[in-house]
Amino acid sequence: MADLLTFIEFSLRGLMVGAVYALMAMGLSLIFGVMRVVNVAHGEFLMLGGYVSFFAWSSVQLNPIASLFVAMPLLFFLGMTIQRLFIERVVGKPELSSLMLCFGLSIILLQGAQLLFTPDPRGFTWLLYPVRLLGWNFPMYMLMIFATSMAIAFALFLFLKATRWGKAIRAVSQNYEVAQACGIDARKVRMLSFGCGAAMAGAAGAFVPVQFSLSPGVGHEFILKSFAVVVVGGLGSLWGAFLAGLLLGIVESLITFYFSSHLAQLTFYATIIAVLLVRPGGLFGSAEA
Amino acid sequence: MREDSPSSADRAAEARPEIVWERVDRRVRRALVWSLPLILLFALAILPYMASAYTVTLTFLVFFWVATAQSWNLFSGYTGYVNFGYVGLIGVGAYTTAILIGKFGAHWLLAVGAAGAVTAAFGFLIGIPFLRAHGIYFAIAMLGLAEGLRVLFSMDLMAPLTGGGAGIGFISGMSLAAKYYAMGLVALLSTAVVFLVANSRFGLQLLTIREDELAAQVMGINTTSKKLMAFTLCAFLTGLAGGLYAAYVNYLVPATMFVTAYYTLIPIVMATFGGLGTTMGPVVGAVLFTIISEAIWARFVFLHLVIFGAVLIIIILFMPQGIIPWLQDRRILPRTRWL
Amino acid sequence: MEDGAILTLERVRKDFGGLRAVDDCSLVVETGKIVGLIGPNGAGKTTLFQLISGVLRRDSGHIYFHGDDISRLRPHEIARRGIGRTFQITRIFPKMTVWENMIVASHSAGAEERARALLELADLLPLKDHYAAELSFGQQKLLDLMRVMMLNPELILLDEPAAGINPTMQNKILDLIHQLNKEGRTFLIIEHDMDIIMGHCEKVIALNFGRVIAEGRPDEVRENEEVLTAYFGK
Ligand SMILES: Nc1ncnc2c1ncn2[C@@H]1O[C@H](COP(=O)(O)OP(=O)(O)OP(=O)(O)O)[C@@H](O)[C@H]1O
Ligand SMILES: [Mg+2]
Repeated sequence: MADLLTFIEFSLRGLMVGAVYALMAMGLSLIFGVMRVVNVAHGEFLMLGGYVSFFAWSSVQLNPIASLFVAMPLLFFLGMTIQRLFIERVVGKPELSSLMLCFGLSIILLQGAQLLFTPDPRGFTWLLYPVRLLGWNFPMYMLMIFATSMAIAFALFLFLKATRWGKAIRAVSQNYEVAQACGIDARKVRMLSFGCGAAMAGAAGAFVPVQFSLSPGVGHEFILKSFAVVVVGGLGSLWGAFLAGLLLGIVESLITFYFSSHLAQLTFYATIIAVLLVRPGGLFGSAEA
Repeated sequence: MREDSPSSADRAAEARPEIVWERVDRRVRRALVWSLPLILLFALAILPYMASAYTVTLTFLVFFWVATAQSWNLFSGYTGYVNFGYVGLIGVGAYTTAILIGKFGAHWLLAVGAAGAVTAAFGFLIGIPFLRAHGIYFAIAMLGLAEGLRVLFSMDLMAPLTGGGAGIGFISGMSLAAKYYAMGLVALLSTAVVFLVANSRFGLQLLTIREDELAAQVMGINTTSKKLMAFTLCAFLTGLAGGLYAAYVNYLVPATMFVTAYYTLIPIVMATFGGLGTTMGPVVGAVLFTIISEAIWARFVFLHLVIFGAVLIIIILFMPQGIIPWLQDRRILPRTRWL
Repeated sequence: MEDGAILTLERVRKDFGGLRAVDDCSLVVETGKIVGLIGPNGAGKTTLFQLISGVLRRDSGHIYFHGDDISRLRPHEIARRGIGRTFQITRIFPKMTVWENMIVASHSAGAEERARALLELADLLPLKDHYAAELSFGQQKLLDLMRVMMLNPELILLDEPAAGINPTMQNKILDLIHQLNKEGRTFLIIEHDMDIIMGHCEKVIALNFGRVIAEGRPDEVRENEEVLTAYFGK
């Protein structure tokens, strides 16, 4: 009985961490769905979101939820700019081009951050006190982060479902030619989606200095986790990314608790490999909200 | 638009301007093609007796980058499968040498040879599952592999062999000159292998995978086995280079040995700049970038990589085919797979 | 199995999710003939080619080539056995020269002479050192056809070889097909142009909703009730 309770407790904890993975992976999937580009630099967007949140806290005591209102717009515009200047030029080219371009971007952002922010690990504590929920104690920050992540994820689903631009994004990701024939400006849609994707990573990143430790290299670990998530959920599928993010969060938490954190990390890489073994072409989907 | 008639085909063939290189007198060309490599080889052979230790070390690094850029090119440049996990292969080679010398007291020659063999076996074994994944999925899986290896080599479980996160130190017993010649041979071997591959049926078959893998299959090419062969060959050469590199570093730590931003990025930049799927491109790229970066920016660790990242972006945006094909497209160099 | 059949399909089926693209399709292609495969858009013709060439796996049924079941073989194995094919959208190797495109498709001795002869036949020899990407669309289709011939195939599957090119080039391709047919090679050709089918095929197979709805001599099939319905509706 106690075993089962512990199992549930750690599953719930994992679920909450998984919400952050879900946010980031949804951004990755959205970008892929719309322009068939695997944004290898996605982890660095998360890292930048993390530094925005960290500096907002350390300079003016802005809490991570409030700093989302800085991090997300900032990343949104950064994403749009990067898309306009670089990514747009390799859309439709062989995937080698976009992969290497994003790889280059990722390195620049990573090493630039090392230069600007130093490699020191950063973090801060926020709402560390426990709250009783369903008979377990959870730290307050965990609940807040979970609730906020859910809100952002559903806001994205709603945006894609109900707004004009959201529908345009879905149209382009489903059928590019038809969407263009219907008078949708595919270039604007790509810019917008890249911006949204980056903002999602930025949002996930804002919670990193609270939950994990923040350093310029943090994006690398997260991009691999996101790859595992999207490979399970289906590259291009937002619901897939959302659900797989939560699922892998739970799996990670359980393995960390019962075995070790190293093994939990390896699980992510093993997941990527296992899925590709079964479905070498990945599990395809489109950015269907 | 060209018209679809045979006579226009003839005309199109004739209308092309003469290649600049071919305007040079034939005897001069032949003299250059034979004498330049020989002079170069001779100069490199006597370098350790003439130059300072610094120059010899720098040239050793040039050799290392030639070997790695060439090996990356051999698989990824020819097949178009982007290997983002390249550092993993270097790491396996380096650790093999380190463990064999550090823990078992093996002679460096044996250890480096073993590094090639072990890495080749490793490449073969992981190639079987990984090469089933296409395009982006292969790239993602390889990125995961390199990271997985870093974690694996840092684990306490592995500490008796790898020293875990603290790393493993050893004394290779090699003089600087020995390292220099050995790495020079590996660089030469890598280039020779690419040269032979490029001018063989095997090379053409690899190129069809880059061009259109499905079409290659219906043309009767067993792309799976060709990819596996190229990947294993790439792993073998990388293992030798990584193994010798370990002798230069003398102390391996997972946190510095498995840096994707370094050991994967730099060979990619060099090979891409020179021209993927060419023979001489990676050599040009490696020589140029090692020397320029050493002269200008290598002292600034992070900036060093920022610049390499930026160079990669600039190449992809403005000269994606690389310098050698660029010159060939402009009819300055002949379009031959020898280059 | 009928005598003289080079290719026999027995109740071959392929589903894409809920869609049955090929529905228990059975047909026979006789050795040495030029056979036309017709049917409205989406009838499953290209999918049938994918199944025969091993690019896709059938869900059930059997595909026999010279009496051997090839339905489990991989594309390159099928190609080596002597079935060549082209794609509806030409898939040459763009950044390889015309010559390399030819050479790489051969797996036996004498590749060079063969390549030379075939390029000569198609008037592509002067362009042999050009990248395939530098050819015109029609020339690329010719190259595609000639490259298949490098496999020395007994059966050749052509997916709309005459689509999208000018009449001169069309005639050239059709002449080539006849010439190669005289050497004893069998052709199965997907084609929408009825004139071409009428003028060049000895037998026609009509497909709709993944099933054979008619087969026989071109003039018979053209008059067939079901075929007319499939093309023009009621
Ligand atoms: N890879 C695929 N996934 C899902 N559906 C497919 C796939 N390939 C083909 N289809 C569907 O199968 C059906 C048959 O397609 P196919 O391409 O074989 O038709 P076709 O007879 O060649 O048509 P056309 O004359 O237009 O070339 C179509 O409804 C098509 O949408
Ligand atoms: Mg078709």
